[in-house]
Amino acid sequence: MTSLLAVKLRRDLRASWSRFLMMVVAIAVSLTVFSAVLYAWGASGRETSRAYLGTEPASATIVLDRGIGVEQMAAVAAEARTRPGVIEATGRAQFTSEIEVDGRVLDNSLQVFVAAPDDPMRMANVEVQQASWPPAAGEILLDRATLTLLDLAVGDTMVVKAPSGEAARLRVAGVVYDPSLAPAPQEQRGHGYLSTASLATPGKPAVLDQLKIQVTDQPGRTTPSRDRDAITAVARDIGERLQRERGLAVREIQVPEPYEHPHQGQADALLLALVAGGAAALLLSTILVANMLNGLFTQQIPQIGILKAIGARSGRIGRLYLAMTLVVAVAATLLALVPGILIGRAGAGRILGFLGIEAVSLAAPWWTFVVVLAAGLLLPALMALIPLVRTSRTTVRAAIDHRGLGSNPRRATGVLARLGRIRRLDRGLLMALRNTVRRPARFLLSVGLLASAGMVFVAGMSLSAGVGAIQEETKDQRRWDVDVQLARPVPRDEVAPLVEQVPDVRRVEGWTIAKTGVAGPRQIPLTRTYPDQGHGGVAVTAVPAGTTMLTRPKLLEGRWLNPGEAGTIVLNQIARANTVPGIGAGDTVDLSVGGQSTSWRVVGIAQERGGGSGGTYVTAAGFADAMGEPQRVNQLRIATDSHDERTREAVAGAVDETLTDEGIEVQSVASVAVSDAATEGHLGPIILILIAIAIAMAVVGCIGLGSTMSANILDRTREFGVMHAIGARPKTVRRIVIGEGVFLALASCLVAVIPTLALTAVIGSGLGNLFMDAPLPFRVSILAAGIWTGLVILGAILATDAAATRASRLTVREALAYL
Amino acid sequence: MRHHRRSKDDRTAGLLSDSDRDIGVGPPDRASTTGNGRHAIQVSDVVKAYPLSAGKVIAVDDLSLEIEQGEFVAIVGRSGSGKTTLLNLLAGIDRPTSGTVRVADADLGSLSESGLAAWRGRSVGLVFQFFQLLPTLTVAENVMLPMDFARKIPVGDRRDRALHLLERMGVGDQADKVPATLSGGQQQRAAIARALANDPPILLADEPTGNLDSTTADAVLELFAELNADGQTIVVVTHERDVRSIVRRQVTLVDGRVAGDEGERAGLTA
Repeated sequence: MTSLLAVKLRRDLRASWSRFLMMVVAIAVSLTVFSAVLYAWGASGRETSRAYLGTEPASATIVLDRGIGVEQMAAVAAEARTRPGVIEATGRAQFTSEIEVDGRVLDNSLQVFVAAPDDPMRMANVEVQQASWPPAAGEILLDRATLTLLDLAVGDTMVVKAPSGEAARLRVAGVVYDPSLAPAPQEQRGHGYLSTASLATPGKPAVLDQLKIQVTDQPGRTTPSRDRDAITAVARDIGERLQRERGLAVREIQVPEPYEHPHQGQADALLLALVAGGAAALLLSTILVANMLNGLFTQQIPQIGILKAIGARSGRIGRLYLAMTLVVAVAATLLALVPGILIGRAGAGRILGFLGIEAVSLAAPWWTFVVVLAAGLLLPALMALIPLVRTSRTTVRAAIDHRGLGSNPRRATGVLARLGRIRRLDRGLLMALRNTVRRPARFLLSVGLLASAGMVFVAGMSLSAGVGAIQEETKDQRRWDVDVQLARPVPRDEVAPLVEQVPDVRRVEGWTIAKTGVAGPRQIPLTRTYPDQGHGGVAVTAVPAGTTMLTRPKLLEGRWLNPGEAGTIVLNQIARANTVPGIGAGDTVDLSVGGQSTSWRVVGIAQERGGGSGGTYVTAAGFADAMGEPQRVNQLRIATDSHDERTREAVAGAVDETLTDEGIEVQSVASVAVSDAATEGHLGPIILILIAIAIAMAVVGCIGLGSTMSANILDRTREFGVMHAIGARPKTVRRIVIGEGVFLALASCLVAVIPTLALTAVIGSGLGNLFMDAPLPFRVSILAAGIWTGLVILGAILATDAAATRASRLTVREALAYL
Repeated sequence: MRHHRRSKDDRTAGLLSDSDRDIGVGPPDRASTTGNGRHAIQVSDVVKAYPLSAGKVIAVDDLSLEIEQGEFVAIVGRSGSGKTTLLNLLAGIDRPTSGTVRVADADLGSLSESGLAAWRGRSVGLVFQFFQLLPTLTVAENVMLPMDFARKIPVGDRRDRALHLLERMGVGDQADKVPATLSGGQQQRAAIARALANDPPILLADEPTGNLDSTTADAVLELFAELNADGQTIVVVTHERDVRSIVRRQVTLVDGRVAGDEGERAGLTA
């Protein structure tokens, strides 16, 4: 490029500074969103891996049906360490208990992790802060989020119920950081850590019921394996040996996904969705900028004619406008750099907080900067390439003939010309229609841009409505008000009459829900359960006869249970995938409950969302029959007369007192609001993110609309001069131009309808399957569609009016002299 | 008023001074720019047709024309006679439907668009109504721009040459202003200076006085006469009534054909 062309470039940029500023802002906004998400993904992924792997998570946990003494477990672990592929082995225990503080039973339960005092904590460890491991007898360590959840502080005292049934009085001695678990608020359950010394009582030694192992698939190496199948094989071998040689019953083998935090998959899916949304916004904005540059290049056609007349070749002109494009790209990239980093760091912090991870560093990985630079600098140039090349090849002839029309205006206005024969059709309206489509490429690009932005906006809001619908659906399906978990199963006829007498109790049903292992015939049950026993675990639900508190799930195969049916089971798709993949209706599975293995015929496969039921259903009669004992219940579902929180809490308290007075031990009792809070804790971030993407799209779309209308008007400045010269009043011109904007806006809304529905369905299915193992409910947010339509029409009017007012104020002389 | 042809020495002394020669301004070296030494422009059996929805329109109809080096030719005719189309063909802006156009020893039909642009920069100066000055460059920068493209003039001499040309066109004091601040006549003079930037052998002008008042129009035509006196080949499309008194040859077009060719070359008197 010659120095004079560089001078021209600088001055052209200055002369149209507002347009260039709009372009820079459009790209900078979307690049900021994209880069922030990418930085957050990179940083959070790195920190999550670092933190999770820093705990040396177990490759597998072999859960015994009954706990064994600390010394016996030590011997078992020592023997396991001699097996091929085992790097480390240790014994642990885990239980969940109600918490009592100052005589008051808290709403939230506590999940307690137990280790022997001499456990070297080389595996499945925690970072102890403000204390040391092991805590002394009578002491417990809590994680920081648990202190907040339970409103406790170091030094406070609590009472928990040990697995032996004995109450243990414990002082909060310190704080730990355990990044291997989902944060306490998400599960609405605290996490505590203590040694067996705190559980031992005279005559009742503490027991451990979990053998945790780390497995490698490289002999002689100490790097844990990434191969779940290899880990499973080693764990099965050890499990079978324990059964065969030591006579220990194995309830199940838990092998979570290697190297993955419990919420890693969800976090990755969420962030990928964000990255995709950011990329979509970036793509839209670069299309917008290409559209604006196209307008600018078109405006320069007369000057291009002059340049070619005095000796400039197409290549030189192309390089000039490529430089113009790169100026925009560089400015936008520089502008987006700092905000992207800052927002990315904040986002990474939020995501890591969501995962319960304390970051060592929030700095984005270097490769993210490379990607962002490439996107910011190359994408605009790529998108502008076609109009740039086309414009730079404009011949002198074409420049002379340039009147602001498309290359084949006849084709564009043929239909509209026929419309012109309709009587009494407003000429101004007709002119507006013709003007809207007389440059087909620009019309399609503008409509496409607006439609894309609208599509993502409405789809985003619709998806958040779908997510909200899950919460509503869950609430609707939960047709009771109070959950009671009994410490031990009791006959239903013994407990139900007691509860029915409590004031405000309308109906009570007794259920049995028990942790279970599902396996093929004569196999040890295998699950993907994580150490928190929540993610990947399976439970069997014994459905009482005549229940009104169960919404039958949708069936993918087979049928539901018949009343009173024995020996039959229904699995949901999640339980099937995690334990016996490939099983179908008609096959047989073994259920392991309380050390007892029973055989069941699968009659149906249900579709449920993750985080819902335990995964398997049998009839209460069939369960009792299989267990060889009368029907007993360990859960009560209580429907109250009114469904406000006050009534629920009052009933919960009264039921707890009533049952305790009658000697029936209650593990926990709480309003269903606690479960609802857990659901919201999981889904809230998703909704926020979808709305954020939708808003970003709206911003880009509005900038695009404004720029398109401005470009449309600038192109036709001379035309307006002619119109004024032949008698058109300013308000007439303004009305025609505003009409064009409204037509464009309405056209984009119409074009967006079907793609919006499709996008909502596709993403709803994808997101739903990723997060909840089932598609999101299909919802279309009419409100969002209305907001977008109103926004885009209003935006069209405002953007058009401003530019049209400017054009209408030009004198005829100024307009005709416009170059 | 009839223009008398001056002697070669007079022509050289006309617009040029010693300083002109120092910066490369001099009578065009015709021998080096036209191979045959005689015909600067050769149009042979050219037809130019435009397809329209109502049928084909013949703008130039089997036209042949030769213009010698150093001639000052006016092309006249009514609206729609094809005179602008002819000038566009000479400038390489339009391509003939059939026939050949040779200008400054180049067969324009054999050149690509890129080649035509480069050829224009070196060989032809254009003064068209359409080709106004670039609005964001100063007048001097507008004049220097063709020099940057053709690279005939050394970099260090370009500004001086531009200022000198502007001075000669009578708008030297407007050199560092943007075109929007100049009057129509001043802009046209600046455009003429730009057309001469690379010392082209041929100057083509389409209605150069179309937007000017009569006094300014006379001044511009006088300018052309002086350039022609220096040996510049000039072809002008014009409506000016008194142009015959300035040019030496007048070609009249009617319906795309040469209807009259009057002047010294043709041996006809006015």
